[in-house]
Order: sequence, then structure tokens, then C-alpha cells
Amino acid sequence: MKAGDVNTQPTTYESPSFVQTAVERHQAPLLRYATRLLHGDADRARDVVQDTFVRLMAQPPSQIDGHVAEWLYTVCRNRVLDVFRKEGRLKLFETGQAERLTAPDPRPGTGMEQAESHAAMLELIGHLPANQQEVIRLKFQSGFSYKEISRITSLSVSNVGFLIHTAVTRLRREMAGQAD
Amino acid sequence: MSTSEKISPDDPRLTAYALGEMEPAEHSEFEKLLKQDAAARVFVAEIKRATHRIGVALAREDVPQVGAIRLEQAAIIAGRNFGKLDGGPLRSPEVPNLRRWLAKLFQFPQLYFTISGLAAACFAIGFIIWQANYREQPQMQYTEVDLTKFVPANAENVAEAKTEPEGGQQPASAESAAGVVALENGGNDNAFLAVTSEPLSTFPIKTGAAAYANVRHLIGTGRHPPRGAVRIEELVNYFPYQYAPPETKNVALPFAAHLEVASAPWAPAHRLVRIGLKGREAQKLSVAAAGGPLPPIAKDVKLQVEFNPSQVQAYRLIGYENRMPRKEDFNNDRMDAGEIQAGHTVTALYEVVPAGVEWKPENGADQLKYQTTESSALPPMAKARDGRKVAVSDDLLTLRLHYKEPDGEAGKQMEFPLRDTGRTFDQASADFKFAASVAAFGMILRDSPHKGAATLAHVTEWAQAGLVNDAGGYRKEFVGLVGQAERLAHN
Repeated sequence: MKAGDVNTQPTTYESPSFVQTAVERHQAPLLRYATRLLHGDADRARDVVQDTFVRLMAQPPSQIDGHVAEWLYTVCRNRVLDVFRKEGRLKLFETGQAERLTAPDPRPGTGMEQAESHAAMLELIGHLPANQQEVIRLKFQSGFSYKEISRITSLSVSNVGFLIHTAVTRLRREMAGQAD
Repeated sequence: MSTSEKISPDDPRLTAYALGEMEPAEHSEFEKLLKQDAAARVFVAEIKRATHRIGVALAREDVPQVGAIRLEQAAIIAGRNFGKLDGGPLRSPEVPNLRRWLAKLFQFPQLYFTISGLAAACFAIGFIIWQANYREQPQMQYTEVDLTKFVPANAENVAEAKTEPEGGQQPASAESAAGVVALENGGNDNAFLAVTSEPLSTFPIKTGAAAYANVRHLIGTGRHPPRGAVRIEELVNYFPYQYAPPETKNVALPFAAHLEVASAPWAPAHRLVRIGLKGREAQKLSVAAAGGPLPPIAKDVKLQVEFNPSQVQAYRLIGYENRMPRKEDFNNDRMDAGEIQAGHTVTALYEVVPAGVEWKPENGADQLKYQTTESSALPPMAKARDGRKVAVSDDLLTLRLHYKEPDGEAGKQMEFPLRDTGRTFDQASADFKFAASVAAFGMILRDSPHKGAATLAHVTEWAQAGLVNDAGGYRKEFVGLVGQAERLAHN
């Protein structure tokens, strides 16, 4: 290394930890996402997520770097759809069906009032229609943008915006109602 | 525009606006509408509060046990019994038993997954080895997608922070502790230190990366990040930089250092030093390596920068206000805190007041004066090491890296001197400009006394100069974030 030298040569940005990093970052949230889509079936969710990461290994990192999460969620969602299709289900969500997964208790130590309000919010979210829940979680739990959610779910951006607005205003109304 | 044109509460644009999801033009247009509609403005504020509470509640939702799937523990483990996976050895053999691996693969209860998995794995071998030789062109097809779980810093949410380091580091868990960020009450920016009294500086080889996502989320939802959330070293290290790994011709050196110096764009009389460290790349990738653990390349790594008093009056480490590594940062049950893995990258920035520039220490202690190398203020190490007097040097600084081999106990050392050739900021590399823009952004958010002449408009300009190397679109997203911050500042 010469003193004062600058590495001006474009180098191969290799990432031996590419899959590694993706697994570390996304396996848990992806598992949660898949479990919800599969209506709580954690075992099948693990298989689906396993399969998703195996497919990730087949992707050249350069093609996917920077939108790994979106890719993972999209592939995972499609895998779930494949599973449903084999069982004769054509749609991810039955219309009007809300998920009946119980909202788990929030972590201890956050203070009773806060814990109660978080639990209340989680329960309200759990009563939203399943398609609204999915986009709400993708937005506020996984941090995706409208555009990314649109690509993952194959919904239009305006459709995504509509679902999120409807869900948010409903949750706001219900929380305000509960506060009385 | 008619004054009776009110926005309906069912208008999805209200939420899109509240979440910062609109393109700049659309955003401005909607803002104009809002100016005429007080009820809608109130509603937007309520929406923001609601989305905040939704985010907080969802962050506390239980996450599946992280141990469920560990590709790095044993290549691809098939079958349902994930509970059998324990921590596993830190270093497993490079090449797993291929037959055993295949046998486990065929234990998949569902043939569909087995076949797709095997096909993908075979594909992977070809692709990954091809990839290892492939010279990558940066591609920007999407804006960056990068997930971290976080809750905006909030007076109520004081809990353990789990950071999410990038690159070759091993994070404790992608989403543990609901990603709540500990609220630190600022911590003042590091002040300039006089070389005469403090010729040696140190910075940790590992940083977290949670701060960037946190800041991004806060700004995206219209909030100004509190100072404690803006950890500049984490912002800078969030982005990938193009550092070549060390040559492996003769000696297997664990690290290569890339040092660059040019004028600091927010204070052109000062020099800005960028120190980049890159660890050795794994040997040629195979399926095993891709699924297996990253090999460690060194342990007990300590970094030290020695500044040359004949060239430097004072220096300031940017970021790292809380320099002692937090327990949470190294709270990793799979790896020693001091162990560094292949491919590890870290970037540190120093702002330097060169000799000949007017400078007064903040505490007003020492007076400005030129140093000769015969001065007793020379660090004892320089004297003891050579046993002779150090000649006048043009070096600005020397970076010293102490380490041990992963299996060894003998301490080793690498040295990287840096000479300042007087480059202006314009002459610096794209990566340098981008890193500087991120640092400046952090300083503005923190309202640092050292931000100099930097403004958000400058940050955008400097960042755009760095957009040439933007594999993954991270940098473009940063430019967008700066734009959002600007709009926030004008509200």
C-alpha cells in the first residue's frame, strides 16, 4: 500500500457473506410473514422460508443486492401461493376473513398501561381483513415503501395506498373509541 | 383554487402524505391543498400519531426463534427437526460431507421442496463460482430495500438496543428486542484534540448499523431524529464502499487499508481523512462456503492512529461519541467479540487541522506552535521502537493495526502510513465524497458545532458526486432521504 494512495480501480464487490447476511437479517421476520400467510402453520412456514433462502443462493448477488428483502418477501409469498394452489386454494386470502391468530402479549417491563395499549392495538390489527393486515405489516413492521409493497403483492400502488389508508383510519378510530 | 375544496377523510393521499410516500411534485401539490384545509391538517397529524402507535405495537409482536433456520450452521439442513440445531462450532470444516448433506436434503417430506432445493443448489454452485470471477458492474434497478426493525426513539422506549451490523459482521439477531433503540441523551460530538497532548487515537473495528434505518424511519414519518439516534459512524458504515481486499500473493495478510485525504468540504482549510479497512475475502466460493460459517481472519484486533505533529495540529474523530463498545454490540453467542470475519469492512473519518492553519484548542490550553521532531511531545512508542530519533516525516499519520491470527497467540502488527498530497475535495474519489456527505448529514442532524458551512443542499450535492458507485441503490435512497429532511426542515 503506497502512502496516500487511493483505490481508484473498480473492484469486484464480492460478498461472501451475501447469503449469510440475508439469512441473519431476514430469516426471523420472513418466518413471521410466512407463518401469517399460512394462517399460523409454523412448520410449513419454515419449509417455505427454507426454500426461499435456497433460491436466494442461486441468485447472483449483483442482481439482487440492494433489494434483497423485497426479493425474499416476493419469492416467499409466491411459494405460499404455490402451496395453496396445490391444495386447490386459488387465493391467498378468503374475502372478509380476518386472521384468528391471537395477538401475543407484549414484552414485560414496558409498564402496564403501555403494555395494555400495545396489546389492544395488536388485537385490533388482528381483526383487520387479512389483506389489509398484510400490507400494514409490510409497511409498519417490515418497513417497505408503497412501491415495494406493490411489487411484493402484485397490487397497484394506489391499491396499496387505499388499503393502508383504510386500515390506518379504522385503527385510529377504534383506538380513539377505546380510550373513552 | 376554490376555498370550499375540502379533502375527504377517505382520501388515501392523506396517509400517503403523512408517510412521506409521495413524489416531490405530488407532495408539494397536496401540501398546497392542505394549507386551505385545517380539518385535513389535523387529520394528517392524527394519522401520523396512529401510524407511530401501529409501528410501536407491531415492533413488540413476537418474532419466531431465530434458531429455526441457520444456513450457516450446516450448509442446508433438510427435514423438520430444526430444534436439533445448536450453536455449533465456530469453525466447521470448509467442505462439509457432501454425501451427508445430500442425504439430509432428501429427508424433505415434500418432494417438491427437495427437487427445487437440489436444483437450486446445483444452480448455486455454478452461479456462485461464476460470480466469484465476474467483474461486477453497479446496477441500480430498484431503490434500496433494507429491513431493520426499529421503533423511533421515544421517551417511553428505553430498552436494550440490538444493532444490525452490515457486511461480514454477525449481528446478534435481526429483530430481537423489537429493535428498540436505546435513547442516549446526545453525547457531545468529539472535540478537536491537540496532537501535542493526544497524538494517538483509536476507534473500534466494529460498528452497528441500526442508526441509519432508525433515522430513515423517523424522517420518513416526519420527525426530527433526536441527537442520540444519530450515530454518525453507523450512518457512514451502513453503506458499502469499494475497498479491495488484501493481496494474497506472498504473505496472508488479514487486512488491507485504504487511506485517502482531501479537504473537508464543510471546512476547506481542514483535511478530511478517510480510513477504510477491508478483511480478506474467503477462498473461492463453493456451496459449502456460501452456506457455511464465515472464516475468521483475525482476533483481538486493535486499531491505533498516530498523527504526525509536524504535519498536524489537531484532529477530530467523527462519530464514535460513545467510543466504548456497548455490551449489546458484541452480544453475540456465536462469535467472540474480538474475532473478525472474512470480508469485514469498516470506515472511519477524521477531520484534521493541518500545520500552518490557525487553530485554538477549545479549552484554551496550549498555544499554537510548530513542533520539531525533537520535541518531548513525541509519543514514547516512536522513540522506543527505533531506538533512534525519528526523522522529519511528510506523513500525515500512520494507522497501526494490532491483531492475532485466529488460532495464534502471538501479537502481530500492520502499519499503513498516509501522506497528504494536497488534494481538494473535487479531486477526491466518489466514495470519499459520499462518505463525507453522510458525515455532514449526521452533523447537521445533530446540530454539531463542527458542521462548519455544511447545509442539507450541500449534502445532496456531495452525495450526488458519489452516486457513480451505487450497487444496490443505497446511495440514491440516501439522496432521497436528505430531500425528505429538507422538506422537514422547511415545515
